Amino acid sequence: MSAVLALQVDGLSVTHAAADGARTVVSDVSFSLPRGRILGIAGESGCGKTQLLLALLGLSPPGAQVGGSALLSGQQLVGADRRVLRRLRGNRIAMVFQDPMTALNPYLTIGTQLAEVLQVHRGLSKSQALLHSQRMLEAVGIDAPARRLRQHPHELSGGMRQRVLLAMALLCEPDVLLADEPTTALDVTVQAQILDLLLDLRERLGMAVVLVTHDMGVLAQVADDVAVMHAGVLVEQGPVQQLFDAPQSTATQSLLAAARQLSPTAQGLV
Amino acid sequence: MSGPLLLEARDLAVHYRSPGLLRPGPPQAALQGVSLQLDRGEALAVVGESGSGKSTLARALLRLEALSAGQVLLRGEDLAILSSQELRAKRRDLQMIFQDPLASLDPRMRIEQILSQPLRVFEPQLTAAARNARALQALQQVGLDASALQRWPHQFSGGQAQRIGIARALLAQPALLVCDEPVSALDLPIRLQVLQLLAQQREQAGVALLFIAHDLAAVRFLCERTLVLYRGKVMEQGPTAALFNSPLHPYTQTLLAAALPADPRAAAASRARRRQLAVGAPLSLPSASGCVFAARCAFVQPQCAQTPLLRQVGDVQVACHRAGEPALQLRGSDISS
Repeated sequence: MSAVLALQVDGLSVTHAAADGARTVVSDVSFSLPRGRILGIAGESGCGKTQLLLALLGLSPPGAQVGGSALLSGQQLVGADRRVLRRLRGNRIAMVFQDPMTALNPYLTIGTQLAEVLQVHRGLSKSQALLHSQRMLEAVGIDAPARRLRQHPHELSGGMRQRVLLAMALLCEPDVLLADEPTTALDVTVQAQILDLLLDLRERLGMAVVLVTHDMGVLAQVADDVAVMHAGVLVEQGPVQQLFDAPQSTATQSLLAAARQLSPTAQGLV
Repeated sequence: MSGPLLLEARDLAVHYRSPGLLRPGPPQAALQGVSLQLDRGEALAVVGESGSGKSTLARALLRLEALSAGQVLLRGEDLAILSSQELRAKRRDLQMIFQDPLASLDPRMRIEQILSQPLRVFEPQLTAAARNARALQALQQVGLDASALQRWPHQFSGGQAQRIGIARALLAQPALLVCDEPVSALDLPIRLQVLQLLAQQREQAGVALLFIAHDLAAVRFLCERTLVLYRGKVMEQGPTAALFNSPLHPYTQTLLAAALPADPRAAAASRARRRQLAVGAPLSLPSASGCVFAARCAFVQPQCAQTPLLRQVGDVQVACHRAGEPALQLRGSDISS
């Protein structure tokens, strides 16, 4: 394997302090992600998917113990200094959250929020940053981007807000994009548009993507590789086709069985 | 499974006035000219994107929303002319389960109290012991046991809370259960269990379902007929199998092309289909009238400036001038293989 690894995770564990002792929410997770590939992480609610992403960003809750190693293009993330992490976040590694309403500041215009990323990480002036932000909004398929920059989040639809978040995450052309259920809150038609956009952008920018979802249809559509998480452990991982054709673990089998029974093309009861 | 006509809606319209203290905006049509029929024990799906009027339709059918035109008939009886007392008695026949299962249970009531409410209202002659027995029976029907009775709503997961909501609705012994996105907040395996439960209750209790969803997979699983709404108007309606296998309206085609099959081999075809149905920039038509879908339609033509009426094509009714033309034909294999 000669491809450059955008992200290499080895034995990553996250333990939360709880009233009745410590609780391990991510346990000994390892995977490697070459540039330009999309890794899907599947699992039910509470399996630790989101905690894994937060640990990669150094955003685990206070008191959490994070162990193991996570290399972002060779740079160690686990235990890194806060100032180092702050320089990397939104810059070399960026995240898109599930709920596009709460992830944006309702008091600030879209333009201010986008430009800030470039002012902080690239040292651009506000006007330069706004110009660049406008081009990025255009790239994620937002019409009238100049007008959008002056609007507030509540003036945009859910799908448009999710595009704004995607644009914000992509402003610095990160090596790795983390996406936590980015389309779960959206209409199916908008979901498909956002996923198609993600595939286009991956092609154009060559970034690596970690996409967390419980929707096997989403994984089938965009993932190159899939890892299945259950109770904090990656129980199975492999190329998407192989995993769908011959699932080994019971967790994967039950996810796939439910997805196939509940498929728009399945024969239903009627 | 279906029986005689239970519920009929004729030409429903609902208008909202946009807010504004001094200059209220013009009324906006949330629902226009919607007619539907539901037989006893039948399951009808209403699908469409957010803002298409699905929930407004459900609320209008239950008379929770003021109609600006049209009639709702329950077993031939017009709900609009009933007094509020008569209407309350009829409400027993029309029960609803909600999208957010936890928000629909009072956090300060134990499950026992929650489940005995409908019995207190609709069967006041029951003794406390009889009510408890019925509540327990309802819980068991939805797969929970007696230990749940003394617990509080927050002690349950989303799937369990939705089961309790279904038990509460069924205790009224309704003829129609209106389900507004009942499984969209649930994880996939739990979603499947709740859908199976609804199918089973429909079979056993003979209750009809009006199932509001944007999840086409759930619709395919549960409902034999489907109605597609876009901006408050019916685009297409008919048997679910016909609609899903050969959708005639470009909007139905768009919805189906966006439903992602859980099969990596089908991904490329699914994406190609979406590209085929996409329009570059939304078109602006000369008049405000005409087909409401025209601005998003890949097959738009000058005639689309005229409002298309619902017409019968094969097994389905469709509101599109071009429905059935070869240019719009979508072979089932394009999306399902």
